Amino acid sequence: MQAGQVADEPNEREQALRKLPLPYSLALTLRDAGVAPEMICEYVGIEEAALHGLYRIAEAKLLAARSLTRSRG
Amino acid sequence: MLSCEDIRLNLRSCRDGSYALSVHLRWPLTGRAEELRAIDAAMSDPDSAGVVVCGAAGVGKSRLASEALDSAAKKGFEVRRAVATSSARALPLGAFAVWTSAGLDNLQLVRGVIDSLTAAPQGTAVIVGIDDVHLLDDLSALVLHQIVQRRAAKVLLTVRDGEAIAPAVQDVWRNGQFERLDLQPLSADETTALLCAALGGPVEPAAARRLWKLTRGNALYLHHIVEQEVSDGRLVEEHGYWRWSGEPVVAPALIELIESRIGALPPAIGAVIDALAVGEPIELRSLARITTPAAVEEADVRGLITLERVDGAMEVRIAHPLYGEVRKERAPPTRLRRLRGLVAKELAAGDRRDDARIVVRRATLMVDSDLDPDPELFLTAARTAIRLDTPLAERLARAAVLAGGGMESQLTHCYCLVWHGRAAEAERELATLVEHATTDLERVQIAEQRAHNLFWTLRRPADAEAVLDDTGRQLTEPAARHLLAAPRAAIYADLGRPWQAVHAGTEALAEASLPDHLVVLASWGLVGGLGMVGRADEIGAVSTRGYAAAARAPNAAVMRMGLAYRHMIGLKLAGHLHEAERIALEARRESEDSWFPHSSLILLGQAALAQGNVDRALRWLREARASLDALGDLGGWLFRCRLSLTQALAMAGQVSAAKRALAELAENRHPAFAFLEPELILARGWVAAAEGALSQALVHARQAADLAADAGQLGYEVLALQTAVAFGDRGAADRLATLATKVDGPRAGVAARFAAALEAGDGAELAAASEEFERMGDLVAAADAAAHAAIAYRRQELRGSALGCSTRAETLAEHCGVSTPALRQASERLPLTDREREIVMLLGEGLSSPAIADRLTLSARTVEGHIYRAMAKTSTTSRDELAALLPRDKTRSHN
Repeated sequence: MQAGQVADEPNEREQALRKLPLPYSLALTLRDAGVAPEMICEYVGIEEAALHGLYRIAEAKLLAARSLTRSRG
Repeated sequence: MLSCEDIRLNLRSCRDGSYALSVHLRWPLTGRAEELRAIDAAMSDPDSAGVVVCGAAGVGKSRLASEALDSAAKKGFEVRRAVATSSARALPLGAFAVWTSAGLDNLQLVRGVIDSLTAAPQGTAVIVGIDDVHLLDDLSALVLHQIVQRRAAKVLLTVRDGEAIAPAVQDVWRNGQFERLDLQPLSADETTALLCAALGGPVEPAAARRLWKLTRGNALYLHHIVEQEVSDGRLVEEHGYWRWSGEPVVAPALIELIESRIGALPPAIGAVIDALAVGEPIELRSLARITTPAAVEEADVRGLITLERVDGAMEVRIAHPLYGEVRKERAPPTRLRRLRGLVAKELAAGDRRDDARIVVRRATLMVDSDLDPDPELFLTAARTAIRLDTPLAERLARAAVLAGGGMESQLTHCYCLVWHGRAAEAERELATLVEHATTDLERVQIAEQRAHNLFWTLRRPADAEAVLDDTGRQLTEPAARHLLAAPRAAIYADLGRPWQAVHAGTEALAEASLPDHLVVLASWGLVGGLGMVGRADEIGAVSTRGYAAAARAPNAAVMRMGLAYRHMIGLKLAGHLHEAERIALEARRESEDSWFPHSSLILLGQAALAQGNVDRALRWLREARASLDALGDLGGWLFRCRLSLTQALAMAGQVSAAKRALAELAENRHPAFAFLEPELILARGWVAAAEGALSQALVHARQAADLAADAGQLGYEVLALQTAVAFGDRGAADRLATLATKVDGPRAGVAARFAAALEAGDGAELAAASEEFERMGDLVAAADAAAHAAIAYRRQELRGSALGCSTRAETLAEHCGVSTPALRQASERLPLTDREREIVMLLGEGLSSPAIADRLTLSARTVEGHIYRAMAKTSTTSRDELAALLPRDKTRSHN
């Protein structure tokens, strides 16, 4: 590994995010970016009533993906 | 490997009236652990009424609910399961028919069903699971409503997205404390995990990627397609990998499933889907012109298409790839031909008509359309497509020839044929083209292609040389002769005649008018030759010029890979191992999206092997072999793969597998790669060493060195002698010292130091050589030198130093995943008690005696006593020396 490449490597959270199904990673990324909930629902294609549950599953999946990344790392 | 329990076989009838076996696999639930936990939590939460699982058809709602109910039953819940269907919907309480009693009025009936559904022994909670709850009849909805209101049971419901849901049913979860779970399709990684689990073994990454793209993570579609492909023998297990060949056939059951999902389409909307099926993505305005704006709008409303803004324009695609596959299956070919023509015309009228991607799309559409063929467009597209998709390029080049494209088209077509696995056919066509050549340039072009094909693909090196010689005699222009030096250089290098390669390569590259692809071929030869004679310092500049030319050549991916391979070998021989790995990684990145990415795995495998990372090398080489076995030995890549695989298996100590690989290698020798003969003999040496036949291993290593020396392959001579020394050869020091003055790079110098130290039995020098090998990146050599150092120290009764070196050797060997003769000889167990070992480990962490005493709640005096005894037992003279005896993971930084 060249020293210059390290800076370009995504951090552990981003690596884990990329492993998730797109709707989950998209929802979390948009939420972190401060996008309004109704807009997130439109992007992800769900009803607003389902957003809370989607976040919960997404966070659980992210946690699992991160621990997997760490154990492989 | 699939076992009998994993599959079911059914007889199915075929369209032609015959019968065939259908395979039904066992599909475990994967990628849903978090969802299952969420349901589990809701079922145990006293405030929760239950869970409603929403999602698209086939995404896995019913399966998830079923698994969640099974899990609840195991935990002691009383579970009731019901399925709402459209046929049961016609009957009042149809979904709960099992729990109804005859002869009662509606009110009594409802009460009776509720009581039956929720009946359970005292203290046992009930869960009612209802699949496809949107299909419940009104009275069943009332039952459900009552159960939720009375908290008589928890409920677990599934609802399909996009279905009309009666307000009475919706009210159930709107008014209750429900968890809502929107189930998403599986990700690419989850799909791969599911495939591996269902098929019982690893799946070729390209196949897994294709299946994910086609199904977009829809588990039901995946089941149908995979079972169909396994039944039909297109998805097969070979050498431990599942490989998928050909295009998927959409099974009738899946067609029905998808048709029921997309519904009966009016012709106008069908036309929108059909146009996209043959030519997506299509720009929105173009699609509206090909069909009608109203039809596009209606398709959008029905969720059959998706719109995306790309470069300022709206691009339309089909919402799911399988909708298009199903429509194509049903549509008459004439209609599809007409639609392809319409899409091609729209693309030709657009601003980006000459973009490489659009040119390939236009040509691909035109080939199977009702438009008049355009040979120029076909040829341009074929040359562009070679970079990414040779099978497509072959189709386009053939179309160019049929449309009267002339010599250029014929040459391009022959080139594609070679890479399409039809080399003999290409040679026949090229041989007939010779008579039609009218210029020296055309003669060179034909000769170069024939030589390339005869040499690497048809394994006829003598014929390849004869073609170049014959053509050389026919040429009249001096510049044309220089052009011919380019293929000669590449051929000489691979035949193991490095000096001839250097001369021919230099001659060719001096010709200013050399076309790009010949610059690359000349670079193959020159880089290969320079690497072998030990002039590695010069290959960087030659390679840079070669890579730049490869980027402009029509067949860039293949040309670049060939150069990277020879570049990587030159660096490996010189001992620039980190640089060799960098070249392999770059080759991987460059080829990942090409149609032939497997060769870069071989580069990665060889680079990893040269660094001593045998585990990683084996992983890459096995994956490459699985893919290449299907394609055949295109360009000798399979031979090169097997060669490295044999070495890797032997170094890993997998004796039987290594012997099998060696036998396979011997049966499939590739005559064009004579320059690899020393490597082949070294592979025999490693296999003999793995078997424990050390004297035989030594003979092989010496033979390899002698052969390399005779051929002027000084780089290989160094590698072979280094291996001989590692096997215990004590007569190589002088020659290696001489070689170190003749060849570039660190390997020869370190190997010479290693050899001299072994001859002198000098443990300290061997340990120093081990450190140098580690810095160079050759961890197996570092482990072997450390092992020899341990043996030398032991002979001198320097027990502490011997233990230190054997510990270092073991640590390196464990990191590499290797077992070598020197390692086996040097392994020695430490004579420490558990307490002494613990204290030595803490010393190694940098702790002082009082700190260790504090940590282990011992007195400082006791700790000192343990340290004293440990030093006495191991004959070490300092605390640092003692601490170094226990392995620590110093090598991980090389990852």
